[in-house]
Amino acid sequence: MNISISSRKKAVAYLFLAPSLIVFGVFVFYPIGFALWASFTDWSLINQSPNFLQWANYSRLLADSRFWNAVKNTLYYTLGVVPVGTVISLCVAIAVNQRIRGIEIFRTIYFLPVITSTAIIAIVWTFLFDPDIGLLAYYLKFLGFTTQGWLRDPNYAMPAVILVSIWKNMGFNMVIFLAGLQSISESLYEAASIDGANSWHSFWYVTLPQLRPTLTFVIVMSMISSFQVFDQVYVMTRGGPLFRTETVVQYIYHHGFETFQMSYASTVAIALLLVVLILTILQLRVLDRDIN
Amino acid sequence: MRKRVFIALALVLILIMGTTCVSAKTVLTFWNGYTGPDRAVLESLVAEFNESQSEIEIVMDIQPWDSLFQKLLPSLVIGSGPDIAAFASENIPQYAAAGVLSPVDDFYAGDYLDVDKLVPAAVENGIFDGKHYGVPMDFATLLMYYNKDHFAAAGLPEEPPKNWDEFKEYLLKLTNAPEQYGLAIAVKETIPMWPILLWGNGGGILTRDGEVLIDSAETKEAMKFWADLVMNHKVSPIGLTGAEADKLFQSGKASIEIVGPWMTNGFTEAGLNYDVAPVPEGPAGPVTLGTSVNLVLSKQAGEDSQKREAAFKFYAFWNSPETQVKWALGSGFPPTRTDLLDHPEIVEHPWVPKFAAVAPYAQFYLQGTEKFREIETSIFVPALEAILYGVQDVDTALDEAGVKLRQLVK
Repeated sequence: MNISISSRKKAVAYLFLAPSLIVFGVFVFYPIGFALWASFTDWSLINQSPNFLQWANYSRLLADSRFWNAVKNTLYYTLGVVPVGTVISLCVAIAVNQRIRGIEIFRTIYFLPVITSTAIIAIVWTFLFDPDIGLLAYYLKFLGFTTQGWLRDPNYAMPAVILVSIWKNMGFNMVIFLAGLQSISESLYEAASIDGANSWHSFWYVTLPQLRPTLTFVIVMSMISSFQVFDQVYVMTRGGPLFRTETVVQYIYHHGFETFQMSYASTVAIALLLVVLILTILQLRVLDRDIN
Repeated sequence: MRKRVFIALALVLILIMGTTCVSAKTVLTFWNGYTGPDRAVLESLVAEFNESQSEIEIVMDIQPWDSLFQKLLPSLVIGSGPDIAAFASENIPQYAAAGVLSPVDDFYAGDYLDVDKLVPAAVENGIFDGKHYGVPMDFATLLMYYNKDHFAAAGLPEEPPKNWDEFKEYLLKLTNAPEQYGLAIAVKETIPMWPILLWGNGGGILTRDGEVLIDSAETKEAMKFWADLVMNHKVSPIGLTGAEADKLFQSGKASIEIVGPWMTNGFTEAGLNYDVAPVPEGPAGPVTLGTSVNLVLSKQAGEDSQKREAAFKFYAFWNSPETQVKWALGSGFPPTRTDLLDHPEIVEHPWVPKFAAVAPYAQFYLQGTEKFREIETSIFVPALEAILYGVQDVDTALDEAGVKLRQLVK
């Protein structure tokens, strides 16, 4: 047997990759392929002998006003969470990047919401937002701010969900920014201060450009996960009131597990996949233009 | 020699198989959602059944209703579901139409139980497409809970309101939003409360025979009356879920709530000074909501004659007078039988007789339609919210709902 060293190395490489690839294959690629197939049929959980429908599900999707409402809500949510969340986590990351003793405690505190279950956070915040027995409503009343009731008010329900999401994910982005900040070499700041830069200048002309790849990463990851938001919406509002917080994934859930029309749910899911894919590619092109 | 050993072994084997076949217990898996205070009573009654005989064993799996509903239909479709399940009767059409339930007409035709003594509405609503699919497991009605301290503080008589005019008068005096609301009425994720107000005027949403009532004149009239009270006089917060409405009454921030017998323990523990009374009568006469959790048999279990027989025996045990008395006393629910109202222990119970007394005029909500869940979440609740949030006026919202409903049930 004359197996060359390089093909033996290849075999070993594939062997190490195999577990990951198998898991990906079974839990990611196969379901995506299955959903793609299902979107072209009328398969429902109950109808086990589906018919091939060609484009019927997709044309139904395009004409479905409740779907477009879900898209609109998801965009509103993303535009609320991503910019604000990114800016806040960057500011907090800069704040906890100082060499003060005990700063790690603050980093831990800010990171705690990230590792807490989203469902539980959502339940607690639902109580806080309750206009009759909630703490938040109570304190806001002293500031003269009374509303109908955050999660019960069609106009304030989505901002409430956005608030909770920003609060929850801030720690994660903060940690990523922290890593990015700490990888900026001191010599750049020294050079800038020699040239007479104040702290605003060094932030704008040194920190931000150096953080470009990190920023790209954070924005793209935030955007992808914002498009897929479900837990908070399901627990806090179930998509209400009046469908004002129904996001795309909440809508997929409705058709998959409430009306059991799995094929239509798959159609919506495939549509979401395409949208996220296209937006990600565009973002990477735009933000990574100079680096590469 | 070998031949004899062989015969001996064969005989022993047959003996063993024979005895195990004879003494094999029929095990029935049973899924339900009684996770609340009634769980203990249910478990003790099922244990009693299991201990009283050695042929049948019921193994229960109790989970919250929403998890149950997510898993039940898929698991029944692929054949790995339970033998028996219990859920509210409005879900029966969806499951029966999916072909996963076994009709139980032979239970009613046989002499397992004196079925004529069961609450008629609880039995009727287990019928779909002319066949019985359900056997009653529980039966509940909604009554008006009222806070006696609030009545006294507002200068109102001790007697609760009896009709809509009095109801309106009381609510206006009791309401001092947002510190105190006269009524805590839930719109979504709740045992239906709004439909009672519509039925009170002879309106409704959809009858069992498929007649659309949501855009009728009576429904619009009722809706206008109540929407005015809620929106303009703030007698109740808008957009409450069932759990929020319960909390509001329990914390003393609402004076009245229309809800079922399961809340009595919670309200008593909270130290509320309350009582229950029939829901005030509307122009069309007294009415309230009735609801029944039914026991259903899976198609697979139904085809196994041993399991079928075992299930029927359990159904008969559950609905027997002895078990129903224990169930009623332990859970606060009225019994599923109509012949227990004079039972000495039942008569003495503080709540059961009152809930049972309104059974004759209890109506059920959205029965007999497979699209029940979709009607509720996509047509009725959105219309209700659109009206109460001021997005649409009553006539437009209900007309649109009527169009959508006719389209859906065509």
